Amino acid sequence: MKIVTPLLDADGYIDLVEAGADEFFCGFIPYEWLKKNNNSIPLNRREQLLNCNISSLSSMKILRKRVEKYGAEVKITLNSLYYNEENYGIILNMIKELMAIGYTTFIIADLALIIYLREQGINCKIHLSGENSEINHWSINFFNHYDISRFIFTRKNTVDQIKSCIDNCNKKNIEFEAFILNELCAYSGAYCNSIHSDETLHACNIPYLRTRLDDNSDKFSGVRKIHKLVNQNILLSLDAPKNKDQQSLKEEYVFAKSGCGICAVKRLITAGITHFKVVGRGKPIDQVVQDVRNLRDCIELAQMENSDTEYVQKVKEKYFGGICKTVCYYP
Amino acid sequence: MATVFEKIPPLMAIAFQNEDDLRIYSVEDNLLKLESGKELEEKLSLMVCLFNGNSDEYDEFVFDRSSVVLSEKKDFSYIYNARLDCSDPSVMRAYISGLAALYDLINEMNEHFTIGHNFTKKDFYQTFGEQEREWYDLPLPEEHDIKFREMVQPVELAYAIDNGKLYSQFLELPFTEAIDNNLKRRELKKHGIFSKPFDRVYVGNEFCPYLFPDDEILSAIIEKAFKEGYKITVVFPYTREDMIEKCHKTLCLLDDISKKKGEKLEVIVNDWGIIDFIKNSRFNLVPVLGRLLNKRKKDPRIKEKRKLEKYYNQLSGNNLNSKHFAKFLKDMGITRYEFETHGIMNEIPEGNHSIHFPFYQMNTGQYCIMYAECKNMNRWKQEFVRACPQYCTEFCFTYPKSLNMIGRGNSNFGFEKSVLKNPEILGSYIGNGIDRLVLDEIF
Repeated sequence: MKIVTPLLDADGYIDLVEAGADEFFCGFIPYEWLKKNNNSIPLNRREQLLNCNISSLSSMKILRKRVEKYGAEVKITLNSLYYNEENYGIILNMIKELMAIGYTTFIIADLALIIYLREQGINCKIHLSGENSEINHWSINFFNHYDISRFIFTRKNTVDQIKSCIDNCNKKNIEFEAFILNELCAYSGAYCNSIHSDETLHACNIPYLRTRLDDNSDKFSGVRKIHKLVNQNILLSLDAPKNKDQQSLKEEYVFAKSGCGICAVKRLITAGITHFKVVGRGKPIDQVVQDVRNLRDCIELAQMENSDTEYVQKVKEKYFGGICKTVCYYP
Repeated sequence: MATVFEKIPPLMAIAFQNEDDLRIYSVEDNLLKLESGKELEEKLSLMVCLFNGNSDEYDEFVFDRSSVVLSEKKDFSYIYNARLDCSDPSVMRAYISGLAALYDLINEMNEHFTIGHNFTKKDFYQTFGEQEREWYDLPLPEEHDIKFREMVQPVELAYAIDNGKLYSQFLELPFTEAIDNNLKRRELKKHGIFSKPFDRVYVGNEFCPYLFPDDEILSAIIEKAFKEGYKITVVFPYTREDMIEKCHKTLCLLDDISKKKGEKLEVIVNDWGIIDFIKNSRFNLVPVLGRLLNKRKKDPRIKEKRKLEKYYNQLSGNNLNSKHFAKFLKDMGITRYEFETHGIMNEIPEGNHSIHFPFYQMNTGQYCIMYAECKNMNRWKQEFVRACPQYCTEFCFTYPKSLNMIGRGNSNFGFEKSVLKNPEILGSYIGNGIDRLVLDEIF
């Protein structure tokens, strides 16, 4: 079972390999793209300028040398939901440049780009991004026509659904990756068309009120009572002064705070998952290192325990004081 | 005072030595810490590219008299302390000024992330009714109304029936009466767009499998539509693994119906596996590309985008405007795509396509946020829904007024009424290949 880890830049590579990471993904945005589009037309799903992506080919070359020494491969995210035809030239050049250095694997969501690359004779390995939302075996078997070497399941599938997709995959030697830690999105990435940019808050973080459609209705009255209380709190908090100092402090590390699939590790391994993905290209390196160490420990525990129930009980006790996290990937 | 970046975002400052790019770690005015994969000459020319938030472009500064000193030899790279210098002092001045502006920009961006927004209590509607009334308040000058009446004549009008309440209503009443009642409720009946009868109904839901009708209701609505002279389009949502069997069964049912009627049935599809199945099955169905597969940036805050005019054309289009992809879709049996009116004018590809209004989809989740909010009182405690109580028929999420957004069930929608107010917008779409208008009322 392999751990796939985010790489913010070339610097974190060795520390993460030593922590137990087997494979990495990173975003690379060449200057040619930045000059034309900056990140307003995004090259991958980290659509900000502030962080998360590498911008120099020299950094990619340095990283490649580390990969050759330490052996943990790095794949490149090209997982925007779509690309305009006018940008295909830059993308093609970028892929060719990276392949010439030694990077052969790209995470892609856009079917049009996949078709284009294959038509251009580009035989790179493609991992189908969860941003494509291939959530049934008919889709997986459709994409098998395009020589996909790995499918990455989104976070909004149950373990049973994942297992069924894997069992019904019509091609052998395909790898399957599942999200396992951090940054649970409220919505599904493949169906999220809102802007994720430096200028503004993510749409899923915009404050909202729970509102009845018809004030004369009394259906779900118990729910409505609680909604009203929640709304009151929200409105009060909106009018409260914002504490800049508090919010600018680095967030304390809490394992799996923002998204957790740890309890499902054993079931996912049994289902046929070959790789676990840790999310978090924006996280400080020391926190990602800790995530990888903890996850490696959980995987070893899962492999030692005979039953899933025992594994779940032990991992909850060890990491969460017996209390389950709210932001569960696989409830 | 010096401008200091202890760690500068790599996408906002890049250095070049001839053709080779170099990573900039830190900056203190003209002193840089650089990383190179190879050794550098002590005296060299360096180009530093800084992001300019005003122009939204990169300013390039060439420092032809720069020097570097090796600071550290790492495993596969060299870290240099560089001193930028230029024979032209105006370059240095412009660079220092650009650096200071970049510093302010980054602080401003960080503030958006730490503070996030400036909404207050008074930015929200008191009730859904208040929001609904304001949204559908559409005073129209007479000349606009006349233009609307003229331009809709050659196009098809379709009404979307996409939830349990509407299924019941349309089974109970003649379609025309049901549509009229709903238009009157929203005071749309007199609008020029609706001056001609509706030709078609869309049955089903693109975003939520729990709002898709069961086969019995679906068959009944299709039968009734045919009897009352309406054309029909069946609308499928994304298709989870556990829904494949049911979806297959429904497709077989539709194939049967279409063969008995002697005419192909149109189906809107939002899943590549289903599209592939229909193609290979030789069912008597015409697949149409659904809105979940027509991906583009759709967000009421798009107007806050820095230098939107620079990217407008690209934001108007997407992969459907690529020739090779259009050919692929045609080979899969798809020639019609579903669009929506939103903050940016869509670049409509060749062919005949549909446009939905006045709501557009922004985000959709496979796990229902409304269900999580109502059952667990926590949007993050999401789960796979086994029996849906249809909370979305009673509740919605309302957002700050200026955003014109609403949350329904597992999705957020934006409300865009430009096509209802401005005949030029509708005229432009019709002139570019839109031959069907689809009214989505959502509630």
